[in-house]
Amino acid sequence: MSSSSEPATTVTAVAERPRGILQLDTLSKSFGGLTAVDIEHVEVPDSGVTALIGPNGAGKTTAFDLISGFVAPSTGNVTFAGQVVTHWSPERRARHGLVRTFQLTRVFDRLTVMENMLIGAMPSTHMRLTDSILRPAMTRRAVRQNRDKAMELLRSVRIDHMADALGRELSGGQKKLVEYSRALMCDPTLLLLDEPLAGVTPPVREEMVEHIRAFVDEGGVIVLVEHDLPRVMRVADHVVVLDRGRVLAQGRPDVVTSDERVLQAYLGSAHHE
Amino acid sequence: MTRQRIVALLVLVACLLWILGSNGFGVGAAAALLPVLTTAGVYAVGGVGLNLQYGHGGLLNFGFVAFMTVGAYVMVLLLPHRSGPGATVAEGVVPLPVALVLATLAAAFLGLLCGIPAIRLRSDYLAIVMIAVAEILRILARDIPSVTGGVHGVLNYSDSLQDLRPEFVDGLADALNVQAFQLWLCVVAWASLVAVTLLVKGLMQTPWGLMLKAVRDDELAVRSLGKSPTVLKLQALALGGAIGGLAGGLLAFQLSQVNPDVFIPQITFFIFAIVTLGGTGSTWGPALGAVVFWTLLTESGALVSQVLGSGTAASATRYVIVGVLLVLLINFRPQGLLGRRRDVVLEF
Ligand SMILES: Nc1ncnc2c1ncn2[C@@H]1O[C@H](COP(=O)(O)OP(=O)(O)OP(=O)(O)O)[C@@H](O)[C@H]1O
Ligand SMILES: [Mg+2]
Repeated sequence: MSSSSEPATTVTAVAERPRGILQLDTLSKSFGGLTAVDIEHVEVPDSGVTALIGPNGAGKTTAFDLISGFVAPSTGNVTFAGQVVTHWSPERRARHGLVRTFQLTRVFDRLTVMENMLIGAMPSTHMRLTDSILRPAMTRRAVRQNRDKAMELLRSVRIDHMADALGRELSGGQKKLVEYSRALMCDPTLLLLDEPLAGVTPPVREEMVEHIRAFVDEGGVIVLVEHDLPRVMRVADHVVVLDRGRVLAQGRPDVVTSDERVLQAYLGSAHHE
Repeated sequence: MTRQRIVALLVLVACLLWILGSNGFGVGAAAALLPVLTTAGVYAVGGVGLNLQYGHGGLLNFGFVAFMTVGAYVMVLLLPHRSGPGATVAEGVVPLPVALVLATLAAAFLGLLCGIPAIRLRSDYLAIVMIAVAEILRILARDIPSVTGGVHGVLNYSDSLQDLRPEFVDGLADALNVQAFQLWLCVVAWASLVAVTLLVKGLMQTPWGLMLKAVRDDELAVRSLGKSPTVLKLQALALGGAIGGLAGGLLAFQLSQVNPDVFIPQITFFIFAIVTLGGTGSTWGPALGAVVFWTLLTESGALVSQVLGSGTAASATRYVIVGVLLVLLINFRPQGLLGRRRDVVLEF
């Protein structure tokens, strides 16, 4: 993308925030002949909600895979909290506070919702075989504390009544909510949410949006992939538009949504109808 | 008591009655029961090890017998024994309890050795690697006779166990009209079984156990939450392997000789059958499964030879019968006798 064709707002937005929590540089991923992601430069500010939007197949999920470390990039670098994490394993990134959810939810089917939450919360040290055997009191205490925290979170997304249900017994929307709460149990500093509202009913959507706002108000950072544009625009502080793997525009929501190319690429059909 | 447990108990009683009954409930009946129970106890210990790896951890291991091979050889070679074509006498190196501990450690080490290269692969590759390892070990045992006694194997080590036999066992054996050495082995096997069963039960209730189940369900999700499945899977493989090593040591006492022909792949599949019968991922499944499996194998053998006369056809037919029963079981009750359906079936 040549810089002359970029909206002026983008340039200033980046210049104003030299210290983003996440930085992607010449990050690309090709599957055979198909370039799924080809990002010149994206910087996620260290506060608020950054929405990553774009049509189906734009490369949003692949970008999440690259950022979280589940897919190795073809080129480029991921910088998180000032450290180049390109070659870190996903678990190491998550331990440092970079946590993601999955578009196709990955709830532990044969564990209960509460157990799902506990897996999220446990510091990996408490899961050590030696601690489990030699320091049972400590691990029991940790489990008890996490249980309370988990219950509170489940209540806030209205699935506390499902705490003892198995993962496989949940509906699609409930799985989304469990995955979201489970990710919060890790105390992330940067949370990547891949379509958290998909399959969630409108009233709960509203609560989720409030939830997301509350999380960022307390200093958390969220990157949000979501097709529910009205809600995205309401919750986002910063928007990045992807199209066929490339950044089409980025900046404040109102500026981006009035960008003609964005309207054509993404909102196109609705806009012209 | 849940309905499932009542059924399990009834099945157990039925097995015992079947064996006793087919031996006329008479004086010799207890003597007929003892070898079946002992074999069941030994294999059940192996079942607990495999259940930890496969039932709880989802690690497919088609070479489980490898752990038993290592356990058996390490133990008997550390005890006073005779080996090789000339039945050469060898001094004991350490007392039996130490030998058993070293045998389990060696088996655990084998788990690490195989796991470090293979654990990152998909679980079906681990299964294949383990088949190969088990066969390689067996062939090695045959081809380095200076250490293992080669095809002649290792003999005359059982005194180490019988020397530890307490008085009361002799008295009890007299009362039951069975051989004291057999009764003692049976007691040791079942005591070991209870110990390892409770150990695994306890472990599965810790956060470590919870993590292991999570890894079995979805490794990627575990990683997305900042936990590494690799170490955990290695630990499960090594721990299950150590229990397999113990089972190998017990098997050595039960057979009273150790040679390469003992540790054939069939043993692995017996143990898989036992775990499946009892209930994959259940606590007492391996114990119950082993009793049922060995009752079926022994008694159907007896039935078949009444019909066909004794011979190879008869002894082969009993495997067919047990095989057919297992296929039926997997179709109609995949969770086995004590398992939970949720642990083995992906969709209801
Ligand atoms: N593992 C893969 N192998 C081959 N192609 C892939 C793979 N993963 C993604 N792609 C391709 O990469 C492109 C981007 O896919 P991606 O899932 O990132 O899109 P997305 O923006 O998340 O779309 P959606 O909004 O539908 O979720 C698509 O064309 C897809 O076919
Ligand atoms: Mg996607």
